[in-house]
Order: sequence, then structure tokens, then C-alpha cells
Amino acid sequence: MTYACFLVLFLLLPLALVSLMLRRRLLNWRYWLTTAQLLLVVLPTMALWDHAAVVLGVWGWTPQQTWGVRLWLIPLEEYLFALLETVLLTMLMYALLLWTREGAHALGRKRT
Amino acid sequence: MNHYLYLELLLAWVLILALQWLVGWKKLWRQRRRWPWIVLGASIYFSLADALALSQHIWFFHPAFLIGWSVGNVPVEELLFFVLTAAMVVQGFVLIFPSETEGGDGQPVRDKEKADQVHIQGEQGASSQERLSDRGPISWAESAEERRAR
Repeated sequence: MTYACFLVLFLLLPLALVSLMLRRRLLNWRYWLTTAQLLLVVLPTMALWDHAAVVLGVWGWTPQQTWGVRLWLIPLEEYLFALLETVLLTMLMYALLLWTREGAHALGRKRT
Repeated sequence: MNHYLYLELLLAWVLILALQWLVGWKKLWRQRRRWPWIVLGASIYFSLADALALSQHIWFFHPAFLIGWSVGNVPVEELLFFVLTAAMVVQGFVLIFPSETEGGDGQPVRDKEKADQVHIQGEQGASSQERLSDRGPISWAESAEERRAR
């Protein structure tokens, strides 16, 4: 299995599922702005940290299972992993928020 | 060889988490019934995915830099990595995402009636899709169920 296949299977697929679940609720600029702000912190921090770990020899990737494109010593797929992981986590948190709000709505209707 | 090197590297994320709690502990504590579930679920999910990636040799670790404890084929440092990064992102989201029912001082609207009014107003005159799409910020106020449980 390549790193790209891993990304499709474990990140893009669940992201697609959560997106389908949320549909128009994702048309929320506040959600995307928050996610973008987080990505601005996560991506450079991850790159610095990951690069340091590779230089120190803590971990590495099998070259045949990556695209071969590297920024610093990190494969492009690793950046995509950080990006997609962040979006998936924020989307799940956003879905949980909506779900709890809907719960409040439903209970409000029962009460009245 | 330093068997604690990966653990030491994880301290960078611990520092960020500490900073988040230092800045927004009130908001994080208030939301303690929500975000930990996402962190827990995501950590388990990514650890399982990691087990597959390691078995497929997509990435690998130098054993000399690990303490040697693992769950299956996943080193404990890697499990910690997923917990810490998931917590960092989710807590960051909780801290940044704007909330309508919070005042300028960041305090939530505790008034039950006011919080309900916000919900009801959002509901009026909108189809379910429109209501659920964000026409206004999402409320961080506790759900009626949570309020009733207290």
C-alpha cells in the first residue's frame, strides 16, 4: 500500500462521509475560517517538528511508497496527512456542535 | 542511543496544549463534555490506521529512539502523538470558533431563557436544511439536556 492509498482510505473517505452528512451545513465561512487559522499554525509547526525528527533519525518513509516529492525531508503526503487530519477533526467537532444544538432544538420542541 | 528521544519530541505538543489551557482554560473546561470524545475517538481511529501503515512499511521507526513499549505494532509514543495532536486541533477549534451566545468577555450566556430564545429564533421561518446550515454562529451554550442533567 502506498502513502497516497492510505490517505484516500483513512482520511479522504471519512472526510467525504462526514461532508455528505453535513452537506449544506458546511457552507459556513466561520467554520472554514477557524479551520484555516488552525492550519496556519498546524502545518508550519508539523513541518518543523517532523523535519527535526527525520534529521535525528527517529522515523522515515519507504521511498517506493511515496510520490518522491519532498519539501525539506518530508514527503508531500505527510503535509497532506496533517492537512486532512486537521480538517477531519474540525469537521467532527463542528458536527458534534451542530448535533448538540439540534438536540437542544428537539428538546425545546417537546417542552412547548 | 537515546530511547527517550521520540518522547522528548512529544514535549513540543505538550507545550502547545499547556499554552492552550493557559489562555482558554475556562472555555475548555466548560466544553469538557464535548471535545474529549472527539479526541478519544480520533486517537483510537488514527492508532488503528497507524498499525496498518506500519505493517505495510509506509513509515517506520528507529527502535533505538523508542522506549520499547507498544500496543500491537504501534509504539506508545505514536499513540501519545495521536492523542496530543488530536487534542491540539480540537482544543484549538473550541478556542477559536466564534460563539453567538458568548458575551464580549468570553462568558457564555447562562440565562436559560435567553439561550432558548436564540435557538427558537434560529428555527423560525427556516426549512430544516436552512436552519441547519449556518445562518448565524453555532451556540456553544449547553444543550437543554445537559442543563437539565445538572
